[in-house]
Parts: sequence; structure tokens; C-alpha cells
Amino acid sequence: MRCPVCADEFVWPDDPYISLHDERNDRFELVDVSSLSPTKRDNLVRKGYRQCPNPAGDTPEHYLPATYADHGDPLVIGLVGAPISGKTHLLTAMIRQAYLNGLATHGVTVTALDVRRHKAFREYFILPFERGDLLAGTGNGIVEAADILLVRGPGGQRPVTFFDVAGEDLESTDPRANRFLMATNAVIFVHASEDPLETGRSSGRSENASFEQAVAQLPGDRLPAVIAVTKADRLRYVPPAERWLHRGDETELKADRVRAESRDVYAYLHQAGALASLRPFDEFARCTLHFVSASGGDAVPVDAADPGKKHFPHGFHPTRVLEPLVSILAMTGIITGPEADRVGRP
Amino acid sequence: MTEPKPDEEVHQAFFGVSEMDSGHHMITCSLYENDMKKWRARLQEHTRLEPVQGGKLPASALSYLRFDDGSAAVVRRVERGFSQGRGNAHVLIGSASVLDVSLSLALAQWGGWRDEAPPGRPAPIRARALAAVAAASRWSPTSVRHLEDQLAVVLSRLLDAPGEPLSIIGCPDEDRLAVVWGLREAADEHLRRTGCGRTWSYSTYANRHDLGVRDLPEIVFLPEIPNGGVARRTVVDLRGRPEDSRSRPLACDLLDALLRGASAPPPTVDVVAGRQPRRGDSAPPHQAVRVDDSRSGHRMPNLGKQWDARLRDVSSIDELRKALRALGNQGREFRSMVRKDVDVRVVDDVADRVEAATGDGLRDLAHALYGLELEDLRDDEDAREHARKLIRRGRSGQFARVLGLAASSVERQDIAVVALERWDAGYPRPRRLKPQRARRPLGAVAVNRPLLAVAFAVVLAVLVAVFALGYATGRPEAATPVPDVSDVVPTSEPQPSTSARPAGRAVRVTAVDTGRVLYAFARLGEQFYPQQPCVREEDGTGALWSCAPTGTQPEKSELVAIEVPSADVPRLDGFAEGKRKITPENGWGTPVVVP
Repeated sequence: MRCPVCADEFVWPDDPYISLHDERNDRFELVDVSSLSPTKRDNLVRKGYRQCPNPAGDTPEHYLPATYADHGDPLVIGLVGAPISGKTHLLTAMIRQAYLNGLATHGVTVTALDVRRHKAFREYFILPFERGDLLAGTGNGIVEAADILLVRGPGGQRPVTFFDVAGEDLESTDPRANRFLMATNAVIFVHASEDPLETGRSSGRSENASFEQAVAQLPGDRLPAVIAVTKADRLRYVPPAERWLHRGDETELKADRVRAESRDVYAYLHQAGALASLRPFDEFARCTLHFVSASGGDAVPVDAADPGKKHFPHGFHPTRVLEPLVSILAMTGIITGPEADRVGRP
Repeated sequence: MTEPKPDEEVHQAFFGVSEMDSGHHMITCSLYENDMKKWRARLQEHTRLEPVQGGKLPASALSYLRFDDGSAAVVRRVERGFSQGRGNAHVLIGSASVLDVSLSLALAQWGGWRDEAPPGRPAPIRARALAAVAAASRWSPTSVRHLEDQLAVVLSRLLDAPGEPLSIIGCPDEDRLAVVWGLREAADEHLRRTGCGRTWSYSTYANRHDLGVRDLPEIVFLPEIPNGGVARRTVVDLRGRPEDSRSRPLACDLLDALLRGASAPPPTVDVVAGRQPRRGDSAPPHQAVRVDDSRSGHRMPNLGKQWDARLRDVSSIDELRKALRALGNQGREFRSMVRKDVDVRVVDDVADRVEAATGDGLRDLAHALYGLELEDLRDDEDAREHARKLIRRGRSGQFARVLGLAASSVERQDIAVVALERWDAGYPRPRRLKPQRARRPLGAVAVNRPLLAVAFAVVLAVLVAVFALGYATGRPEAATPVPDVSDVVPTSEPQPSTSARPAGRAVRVTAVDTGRVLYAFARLGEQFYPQQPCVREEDGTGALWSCAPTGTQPEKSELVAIEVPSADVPRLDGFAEGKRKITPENGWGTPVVVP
């Protein structure tokens, strides 16, 4: 078993000791469940954790759900992108849509595997997002997973861990910030479409530091990748993005359609001069590209006197946020079939 | 504040999101290039004011950070900036002798704080200019008198665990600096006198307090308990009923001294001298693990007992080795907790069993105790002391040799030397080190390295040969039952028992230490029924004891005697009276069958 947090490999213990979280004192407590009835034991194990032994001793104490090894091979998805590129908003909208049965048409359902972590994710991100608040983004120095779900699909059930690390950390040279990439087996590269009027720049950046670091670290010949162009609502009047946005969420997987969208996104990024953001396409054997909009529009200041406090006055309208996830699930075998086999291939 | 040198400078840095570059970074500073990179990395995690669960942010927050190189930073974060969570921050950076906690608290009123980064490069500030700010500090006992109740609650918990960092929840924003000032004024001198001095670093607003945050201050104020990561801090929630605290009287006395000028209480003995608070890493790894009564599952009195029970329950050597390997796979902290509770007796029992079956099992036992790579022996002094104790006092000579070899493989020759001493003496059972040898520091052995190396090679070869021979003949020496009779002269007189002398059977047991007595139990399988204390016979040797059942023992039980602390006798008498069984506890001796 490879720990998604510290990337160490270790033998998953089969002893009856699990850790339960004591919320009052914010501590984990070790419990021996061997003498409990199977019903009670299963209930505790579902809510329990196991401490990662972290043989390398290079990561602060951390825990994994006690049922993490009870399912298929864990899938670890990392979101990589510059600061303020919309990673957190995309992940929030994606998980929210998945919980709203957005993947049901592909035969996929999701539940929380790490109940405590999902509760935190819901309270910190999903609920404020639903209120129309601008999310604060991921804090610096957070190396823990954002959420761990159990995804069941035609190809079986697997724990899926999402990592959303601050863009500032991804661009830093601190090896701690990129450690999660060692355990990652699928990547969503996030590139924010820029409004030239807002940024004051007429061309794309010559470098994308977070993409560069991830591409250099990951074995692209073995991992699937997705490039998601976020904040695509800014392009709602720009062809061909507008055509894809108007389609809304897809209800069935068609490899030709995924390929057509990938072609259009590639053309857009190329035309916008964002060549640095296209590097994953060259480096990863299976890669798809998508236009997504997590919120449906830009946040605006609540008060003109305080431009830092922003919200979405008309609520949020996520569009096509599940497409990157569907592509990942198809390329990792959770969604199966001949169409899924062709996704992301040349 | 210590008087600053005339030329000492305090540097300034500004964090935020710049127009030129996306992301929250250091925008400008008065530092030179090399220092700038260092401080950008150090402060990156402390310069964003991030909301929790959509809650309201304070307009500003002040943090005082201390670093191991003797430097300090005072950070003022404001909500104003690019967006919520990516607001601006103004930082003062200097030596801790200049930027001390008093000055940081006084700086709350400083007029030099800026909400926005200046257009150009800021200039450093002369330390003397800031000294004037400290002199004008508004803090006084009067300014915190209205917080006496809250201070008493927080200070009590702080004094309960003076070495632990503190997280405070539910304190109004406007009172937070006053609480820090009050805690420090009330307890700093007391803690210093007891060897538990704190730096009093603090942050009036934090949204995380887990172990992943580097250089997290000793005291942080949180809006809620964060829902992520692992924290090891004392958590005080002022919103609910205060938790019981054994330090409450001391806290009240200290506050009385601060607020009313009463005389300060002397340091108490239960404060552990020398324990310094750990930043961002609070409770020791030996933290007791327990389960609330309200939870399902049963209580875990201690890991040693659980481990003992689990290893006793296995029905085959394969299962035993599997269990040992499972323990070896546990985390370093888990093993540390297990070692704390596992005494020589437990290890002796396990060693006997695996030794009788296969020598490899002893290696599994070593791995279970110190990790699969024996990594705990490399860098954990507690683990090394545990190993030395097992070698000196454990019953199994073969396990002592395995430990000696294992220690040698990880280049811990100090442990191997202890194994050598035991082997050298030729004792098949525990012995007391000769005084002159015990006094000799191990470091003195290491001085003569060439000689030691040669001696070691020879000794290790002999150890391996002895081990292999013992294994091949199927008669490992430690598997031989250890006689209950010791040839070691008792070190002190046993505590006299207050019970009436039982008409019992005699058993010869020596080395009953001061404060311990021999107690009779009826053993039925793995169950022990306390009977009554044994009484020492006056036969001139001091080693003969008389033990007797009470007459209410279960059928088919056998009478055994166990050395127990004298303090346990009343409790055991209670068990005996109620005819209840008890599980042998850590610190008790090995059962000796009374013939």
C-alpha cells in the first residue's frame, strides 16, 4: 500500500486497532475492536482511521480511513495549477456535482470514504460555494488530501483521493509541497482562461511553473492526465468555447466528442499563446482537454470600498465540471467499455 | 525588551497578491536577496488570513513567531487585499532580543502598520524607535482584570501540561492579546522557576493548528476546531463548561498575585523540570490513548496490556509471528507507546514462546519493538534505553544476544556492549551489574575504538555461533524455565504486611524491593484471584516467604505469589474479599508457583 499523503509504501496492518477521532480534544484515540460484535466493529471501522507508519519519518503524523485498503487499488488525483487558477472552485463544483448523482448516467456513484474529511470539505468549501461566497482557496503548507471518496463504477469500486495544494506551494521549490505527486496516479492540470482586459496581458505566460514541476516529476507514459481550462465562462462569446459551454453536462461518454473538445481546447490555448500549459499534452500518453466553468461567472466585490471581499451575486452555475473527472475515470478503468478505452488516446 | 544595540535594525516585509504576478507572495521588503528568500519561505504559511467554515474574519490579526535561530517576526494580517483568504500582511523581522513578546504586544497599537504594500522598497526600522512603542504599552493588570475568569480557565489548562502548546477557542477577538499578556504576566516567572519556560509566541487568529504547520506559535486562537490534520495541543474551549483541572488552585493563586498583588505561590513539584513547549507539536508521542465512555468499544487501559493479551491469545507460533510483524508495521509513535507500557515481564513471556519454536521469532520480536529496520534504535534514545533494560533484566539470554546483534547492525554499539556485558558474565538470567561496571560510562568504552572493534568482531562471531548452536540443538538456554529462587541477595527489606500471618506454604523469593510485597493469588488458567499478602519467614535468609490461600479460591486453581507494589495491597484485599479476578498489571513481578 502506498500512502497518498507521505507516498511511503507499507504493509497494511490487519490488527484490530483503529483510531477514532475525539472531536472535543481534536485528538485520535486508539481502540481495540476485537471484542466487539461484527455489527459494532464494522460501524466503528467505517468511522475509524489507521495511522500511517510513515517509515521514512518525513511527514507529520497522519491517518487514513480504516477501510482504505478494503476496496480496489486507490486512485489518487492531483490538481495542479497556478495560484488563483480555480483549482479549489473546480474541485468543489466537481465533488458537489458527483454527490448530486452527476455521474449516474455513466454508472458511477460516490460516497464519502473518509467521513470526517468529507464533512470538513463540505463545511469549508461546498456550503460556502452554495451560498455564493468566493472560496478562499487552499492555504499554504497543506499537504493533506482534500477529500477521499469511494467511487463505484462498472469497473469496480476504488477509493479516490483528491489533492488540492495551494498554487503558491506548487510553484515553490519546497519538496514538501509536491510530495503528493509521488503517490498521484492521475492529474488534472488547471489553466485559467484569462480576460486580457482584467490581466492587462495580451499573450499567455511564457512559463507555467506548477505544470513544469509536475510534468518533470510524473511518469507521463504511465499516467492519464486532463487539462481543464477553468473560468471558461469568460469565453462564452468566444468560439469554439461557447459551443461546448452551451452543451452543458454530457450524459454519455463518446470518445469522438472528447477528442473534438480536446482539439478545440488545444487550439484555443495555442492561439492564446499558452504553450506552456500544453506541455502535459505532449508528455502524457493519455490526455484530454476540456472547457469548464465552476461558478458560471466571475465574483464581484460585495462592497466597492472593500474590493477584496467578493461573492457570486447570481449564485453559481457550474458547467461541464464533471467532464475532466469522467475522462479520468474512463482512462483509469472505473468507467469501462469500448468508448472509454479510446478516451485520451491519439 | 532587552536594550537594543544602536545599529540593530528591524526589517519590514509585505505580503499579498501583486499585479505583476498571480499568487500570494512577498511583494516587497527591506531585506537583502538571500534573507528575502529565507523569510519568504518561513512566513508563507503565516501571512494569509483565511476564513473557517465561511465564518467571519477579524479585520486584522497579530502573530508573534519565534524561530530556532534566535530570530522573531511580528505579523499583522488584514482582511483587506486581493480576496478573502489572500489578504495583505505587514511583517517586522528581527532578532528575538529586539522583537520580544512584550514589544510584539505593545506593537498592537503601533501607528506604523500598513494595510497595503508601499509602492517602493521599504526601509528598515531602527530598533530604538520601536523601543519607544514598548514603553508606551497599554497593558497592565487593570486592563485584564475583567478577564479573570477566562484567564483562570486557560491558565489552569496551561499549567496542567506546561510543555504543551495551547489552542484557545471562543475568545472574543478584542480580548485575545489581553489573554496572552495576562497568561504571560501571571505564569512566566513561575514556569521559568520550574524549568518550563515558554517563548509565549502567539497568533490571535489561526484556521489550522495541526502538526503540518511549521513554526506554529505556542498559543493560537481558533474560531473552531479545524476539521483536518492531526493536532497535539491542549485545546481550551471557552464557549462551554470548563474542563476539570488539577491546576485550578495554582492558576487562581498566580492570578491573585498578578491582579491583587498577593504573594506568588512557590513552584509545585508536579511541574516537570526542563520540559520546554514545542512549537507546532504538542503532546508527547507517549500520549495516553483512551476511549470515551460514551463511545462503543472497550477502554484500552494501556497498549502494553493489549499487546500482551493479544500475543497470549494466539494459538500458533505462525500467528504469533504474524502478530509481531503487524506490530512492527505500526508507526513509530505506536511502537513508542507500546514500549512505554511493555515491561520486561511481557517481553520475557513472548521471548520464551518464540524462542522455543524458532530463533527467527526473536528477530520478529525485535522488529515489533523497534521497527522493521530497527530504525527506532538509531535515533530514539527512549527506545535504546528500553533495549538496554531488556538486555540487562530480561530472562532470555538469547533475546539479549539478538538485540545485541541487531544493535550492532544499526551501529549502536553502546547497546551491543550491554549485551556483551551480560554474555561475558555468563549469567543465563538477569543479574545486577557490578557497581564499578555500572558506573563506567559507555562512552569510555567507545574511546578505545580499534580494540573494541576487534573484540566486537570476535564476540559477535561467538554470539552467532552460540545462537546457532542453541537453535540447532533445540535447547535455547533461555527456554529453560527460570528458577524461582534467586541467588541475588535482597537489596532491602520488604514492606511488612499488616495482614494476619496466613498458615501457608513456603516459597523462596528474593530481591523484593522497598515498597513492594509478595501477594498470593489463585491462578486458574490465565485468571488470577487475589488471596492475601504473603509473610516473610524469619529464617535468617530474608528470602523465605509464607503464602496461603484464603479458602475461597476456585477449584483446580494453583497458588502463585506475585511481587506487587505495597500501594496495591488494599485494592487487592478488596478484590480478595469480593472474590473477583484481576489482570496482572505492569510493574508486577512474574508469578511464582507456591509448591
